[in-house]
Amino acid sequence: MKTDRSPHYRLMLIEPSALVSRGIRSLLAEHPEFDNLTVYHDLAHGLEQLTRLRPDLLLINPSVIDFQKRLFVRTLSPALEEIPLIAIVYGLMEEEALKQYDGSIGLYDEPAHIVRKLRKALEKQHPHSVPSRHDDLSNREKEILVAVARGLTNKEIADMHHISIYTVISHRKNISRKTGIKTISGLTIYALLHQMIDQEEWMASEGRK
Amino acid sequence: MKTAKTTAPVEGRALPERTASWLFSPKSKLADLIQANYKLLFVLRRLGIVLGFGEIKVEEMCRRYAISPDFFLLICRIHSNENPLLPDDWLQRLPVNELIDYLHRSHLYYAHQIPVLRNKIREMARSCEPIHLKILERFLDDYQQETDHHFAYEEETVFPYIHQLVAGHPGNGYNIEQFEHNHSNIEEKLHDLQNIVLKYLPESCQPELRDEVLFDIFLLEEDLHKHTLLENQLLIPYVAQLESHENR
Repeated sequence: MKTDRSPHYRLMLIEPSALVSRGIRSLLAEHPEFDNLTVYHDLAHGLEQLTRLRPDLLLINPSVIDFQKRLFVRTLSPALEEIPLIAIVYGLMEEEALKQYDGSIGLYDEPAHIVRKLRKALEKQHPHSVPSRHDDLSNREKEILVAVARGLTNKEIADMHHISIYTVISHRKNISRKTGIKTISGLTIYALLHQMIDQEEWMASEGRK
Repeated sequence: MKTAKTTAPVEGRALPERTASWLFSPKSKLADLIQANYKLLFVLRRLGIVLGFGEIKVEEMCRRYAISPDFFLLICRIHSNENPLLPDDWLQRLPVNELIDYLHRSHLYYAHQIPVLRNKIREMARSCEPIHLKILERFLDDYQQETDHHFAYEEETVFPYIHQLVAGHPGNGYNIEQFEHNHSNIEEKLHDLQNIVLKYLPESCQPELRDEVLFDIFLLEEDLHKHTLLENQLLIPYVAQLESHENR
């Protein structure tokens, strides 16, 4: 999908007005990096395709979102956790709602200004998308993982290491994020495969069951 | 629209705005649906639809197999989209018996498929060290037990309760709120297994079998996820609605 040199982004636009959406399309068509634009006029159809199309950036008119959900735009779909968002604003929009976006454009913005805003939003790595997935477990995390695999509760682990339960929970979240493994049986396998639990000992205890 | 093709959008470029709903229509060719999303083969199998149907349209196929076209298309949409768009009035139109039958056949499929996966993993693990076989065996034993238990609960408690409710005999103190949401755990464990096979088994594992196992897990994961969606987004709201009528 990418051209040889210059970046080529896939954009999705959710905007109820045909006038505005066509305006945006023709404006962006002048910039090869932004000429790949898929348009929806309502939220439901846009969301339905969002995960499949995985656009690099979503332009959305916040007024298509129900009032109650406007303040939680990133919870509308799991895909939205990572995609940069640009709000298209004409008419009244709550200040609070706009804070969740990586930029906003209005009817009277200069074309060059709009393009700059899009580039800026794309440059900004969203905090949700940078979890250090490749990180190895820290020593503390390894200790806690072994304790979990041995069947200890959060409370017991907290007491053992003189830390709060919340710290234990936060370590466990990080362990799951890094390894992709959530359940205790899964973590046990991880610990065994990495020889963090003695395999012979485990074999022997299994034999007794 | 005469040249429009019902394949997935190419390069995310301006696709007709109603592609999704247009593809899943009674006039669509059944084969087009499958070619757009081959995982719908699982759906056909569960509905007892046999391949070799030529150019048959969805509506005709549904007539032949006595399936409600609305229901068939709803299932297809749910299996094909991550944020499926349900018609506004689905609650009024849901043929709940067809849904339960579909879920029941899914259970039969999982009950068959999980041991198949288990055997493949066993075979794969044999190429590693004995300890790996042993470790995985234990995990799979637990998993098998958990899924058996889960499906048995639905088959023996939940489904009969709903059948009674639909027939106008409200149950004996049971209600759908008690329906445990322990699916998530079934999905979570499978996801853990996927991570383990993908990332953490040693490089010595036989690669072809390992790939095969992974493909199986990915497909099963996705299918189980859809199964959960059907239960949580169709079955439970439907039954909750029936119950609220019952209590009026």
